[in-house]
Amino acid sequence: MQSKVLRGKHLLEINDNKKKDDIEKESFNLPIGHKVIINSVNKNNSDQIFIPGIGSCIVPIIYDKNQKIAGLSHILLSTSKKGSIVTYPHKFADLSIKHLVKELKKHGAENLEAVIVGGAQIFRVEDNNIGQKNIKIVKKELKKLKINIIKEEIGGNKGRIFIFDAKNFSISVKISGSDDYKIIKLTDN
Amino acid sequence: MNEINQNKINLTPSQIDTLKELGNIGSGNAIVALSTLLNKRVEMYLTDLKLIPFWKFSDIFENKEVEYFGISSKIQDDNEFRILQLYTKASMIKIINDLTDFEKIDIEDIKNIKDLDSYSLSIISEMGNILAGNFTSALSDLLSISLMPEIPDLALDVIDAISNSVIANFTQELDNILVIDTSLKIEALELRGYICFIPSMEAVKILLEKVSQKFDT
Repeated sequence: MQSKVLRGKHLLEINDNKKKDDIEKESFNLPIGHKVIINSVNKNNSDQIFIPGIGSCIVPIIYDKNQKIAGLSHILLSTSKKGSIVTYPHKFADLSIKHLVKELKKHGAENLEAVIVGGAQIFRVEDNNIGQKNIKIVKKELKKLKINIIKEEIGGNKGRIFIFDAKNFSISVKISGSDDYKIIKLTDN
Repeated sequence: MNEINQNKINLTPSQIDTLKELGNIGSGNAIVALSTLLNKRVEMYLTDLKLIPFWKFSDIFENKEVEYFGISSKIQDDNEFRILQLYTKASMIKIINDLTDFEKIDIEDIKNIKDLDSYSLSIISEMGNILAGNFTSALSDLLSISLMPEIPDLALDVIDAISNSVIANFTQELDNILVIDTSLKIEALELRGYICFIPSMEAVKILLEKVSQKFDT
């Protein structure tokens, strides 16, 4: 189920059934229930991870800024049902964070920090509060693993368009319908 | 044996045809209503049935960067069926402006569903309701069951944000969803839209049972 693609000097690793073609592009979409690990050895690379709309979903970006290793997942729901067989761990916040951190450690990441994006309420009278639940569980899981949240772009009632730029090791987020991207740099320099 | 349980859906070709036909009848009826309501020619594309993993749902739709109005109608309390309608933002605002004698809305002022006044909201809501109602009444008549859409929920956003928020309600335990979708176009209004019928697995079972009872297939 796992495929690893070495593109330029980045190791992009994506889970599940995504075809290799999808990852061969300069920029690729990260669908819900999936994760990606970016291990940047070289600064001169132009890989971008793009999400055309984050609604009630939530995207945690967990990273080691010194080594430039990052992991992100596109989470749909807060908690998996106890005892059920889960094919897509990154669909659920309670499983995804743990998995991501484990993967990152395998890549040698230390001193992890996080940025979280998403968790909006897209419909006017949505009854299930999925976005808010997602925020709550992601925060809880990160706290459990003692990972500080450096920045959050969460809640509200509009979707967000998201780009992770591996070259600059930065995130660009904009509210759908607006023109300006807010850029969040993950490194100090 | 055909299995329709929580995690696995296996449908025979004839069951797929049946469901597709139900979707076709429903969306056909809804589109006639839309055409009558707006007094415009509506182009309708062939209804398609897709059994796809949850993460592919948003791939059904094109124009990812454009904002749409999303109208989500629940049918019956227990979340058994859902009809999701999507219409391009600019053309919906044109429709609202055509129907109103009051001050016209400027598209630049509408960034958020909350920016719309209650009159405009009720136009969208009512349009969604009429279409969903026509969709379900076609099925109710055919299968002698009672299907009533609830007051629809509205959103204004890019398609991925809307569609993923809708399927979050379906996929706590399921990894696959069944979608019967029809896309439509109204040239005169530059409107592009989609009508998606998303039944839960329980609902698929009920529909197929009703069809075989009625038509003995």
